[in-house]
Amino acid sequence: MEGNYQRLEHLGEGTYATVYKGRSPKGEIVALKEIHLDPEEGAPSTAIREISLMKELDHENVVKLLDVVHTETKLMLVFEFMDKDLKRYMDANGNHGALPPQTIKLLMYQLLKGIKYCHEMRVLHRDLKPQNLLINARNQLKLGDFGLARAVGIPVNTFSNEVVTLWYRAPDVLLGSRNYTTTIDIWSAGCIMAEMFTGRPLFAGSSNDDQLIKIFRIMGTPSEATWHGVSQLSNWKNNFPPYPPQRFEQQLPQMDPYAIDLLKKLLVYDPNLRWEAARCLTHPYFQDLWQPPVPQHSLQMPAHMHEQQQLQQLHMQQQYQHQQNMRLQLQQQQQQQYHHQQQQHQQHQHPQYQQGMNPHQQHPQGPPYQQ
Amino acid sequence: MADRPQLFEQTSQYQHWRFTRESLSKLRTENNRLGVDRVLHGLRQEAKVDDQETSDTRIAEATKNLLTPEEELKLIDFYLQRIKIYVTIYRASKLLKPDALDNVKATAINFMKRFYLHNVVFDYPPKNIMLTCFYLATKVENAFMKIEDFIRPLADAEAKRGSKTQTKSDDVLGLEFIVIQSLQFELAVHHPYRAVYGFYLDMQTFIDEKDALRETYDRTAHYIDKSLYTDLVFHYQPSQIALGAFKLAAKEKDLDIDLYLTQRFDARSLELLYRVLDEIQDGITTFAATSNDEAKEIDRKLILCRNPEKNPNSTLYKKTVAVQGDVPYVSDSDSD
Repeated sequence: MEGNYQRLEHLGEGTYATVYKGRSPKGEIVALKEIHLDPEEGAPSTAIREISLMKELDHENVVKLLDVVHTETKLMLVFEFMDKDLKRYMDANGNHGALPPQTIKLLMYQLLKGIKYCHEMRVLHRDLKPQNLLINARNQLKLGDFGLARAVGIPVNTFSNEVVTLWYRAPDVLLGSRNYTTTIDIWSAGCIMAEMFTGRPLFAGSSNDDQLIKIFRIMGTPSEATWHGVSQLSNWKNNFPPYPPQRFEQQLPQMDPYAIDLLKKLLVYDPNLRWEAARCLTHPYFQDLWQPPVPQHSLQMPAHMHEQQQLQQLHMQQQYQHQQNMRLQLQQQQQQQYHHQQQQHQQHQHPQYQQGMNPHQQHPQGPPYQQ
Repeated sequence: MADRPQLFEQTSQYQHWRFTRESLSKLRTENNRLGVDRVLHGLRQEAKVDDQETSDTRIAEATKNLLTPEEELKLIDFYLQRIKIYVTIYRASKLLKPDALDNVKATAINFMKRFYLHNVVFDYPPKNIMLTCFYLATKVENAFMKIEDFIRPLADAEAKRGSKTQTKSDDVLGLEFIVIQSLQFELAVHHPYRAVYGFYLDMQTFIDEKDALRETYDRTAHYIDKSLYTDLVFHYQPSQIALGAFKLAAKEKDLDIDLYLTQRFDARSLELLYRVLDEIQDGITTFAATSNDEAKEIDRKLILCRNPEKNPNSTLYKKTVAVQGDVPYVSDSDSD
């Protein structure tokens, strides 16, 4: 209880807490999330819910809650330390915020793995945004800040005045749907993916309605024909300006065709048609991260080691310019490969989607990465 | 995917709050023994700051009245039963939404049962622990209310009874962290309510008597409610308890759900399941709540064997603990 955690530096303000870098009694570097106790309610219910959910989650792509300590005026959650959030990572490593395509792929893969795990554990994050995705020195991405997360199935507070960024919020929620499902996190993942390519938020609305208009301008104003049931939602207006849909290919020229195709599975108006995280991981966009299935009893590297290797390579790439050039060449090769596969594709109708060729799915519990 | 653990097996409830009957009873006996040691140690400490004669009588009184593990359990149960009453008070004053009632009640009861696996009533008398568990459950189950709203109905009821003591917000919030910590920060609890609804939906494809099935399902709430006060939650999974409650309700409504079970499970797992369901039904039907008189008698003894180190009214507490204050946990060595 009276663990001696030492504050090192101020890291930022969370939704309901102040976060510091700190040192644990054992000397480990940790993140300290300090929550002020409210005389009106004691430990805030957001903190209580975050503790209750985080205690149930244990996954390499979800930030770990290590300890909880308490004084008369404060409650402190101790998390594993992560160097940056995705926003800062993009500012530091990107070109005006835009990240290299291979980096994006590795981050998206980890983001979707984290989301898949949460959804399997029946937890909705509800507030995915670059500021809540944490990245460590080994380029591991982890979902953080579960202050607004909910267990699936629990109706949402009507009086909750929680301030959430609108930019990553699904259109069904903006239109007043109270039927929160896992699909709202998938929409956020799509927005984040596009933002990594451009360095700018895809839909940067300033109010609920403005957010909708920003979405409509790019994706077209939905109608009963394109989204069954949309006119039944409480915030739906018949006089929304009728924008025609733009092509993502034109809006996001940075994205290769596979990336565009995945984005189209994430940013779908009808929440029932959005892909689940598990299915997204089998999308051919990620195929160069997969490895052919390892035969049993072989002494080869387990599947998760493959991914770790890729992460290490990525780390090197960021340090050496000549390697960056090589990566660009590689990318061109991939493009060529892609066009080749695309032709096959049209004949075989995405065989990967049906067969679920992702070896990581079969070995979901790899040990944490070590260096 | 067959070798993946079941969803429930990944929960803290399954991993850390499951016991055999023997291990549970051993845990409680040991817990009680350690609690008694603390009481006697506290009284000896108190003797050092108080006059000899008072201390001697106090130690003699306490030793005579020390509660057994069984008495502790009975007293805890009495206050668990009070949770049911409080739920109706908050519902009447519209502070709890109807859809949150069951889960808040069940979570509060579960918190309190878990709390006393690692604490004793000598240190923490159950009345305020019950309130803290209740208030914490409203936060966990997303049915939060302000502390003043939580306190008001209690204070009103106390005033009506002409009670000498009045519950204050500090009584509830002061214990909050001790409770959270004793629960090992594992606050997500699973109850049979959702499972029983799942069974109800599933049974509709196998059982033709729809009205009887509906009535049976409605009746399960009664048996699930009874199960909450028992130790079944420490031995069985929520879905098993749900099915046990369903069997009891079906017996009462004269509905045959074995048809469903035989079609849903193979012979081998059914044999095992029936044994489990029998134990659960036994557990629910044989449970007897603590009477008012029993509780009063135990409460009277408890006054004499409180641990003075944890009792704000004790001489020891006033002279030592209160003076020391809390030790800060974070050093601001580096500026930020």
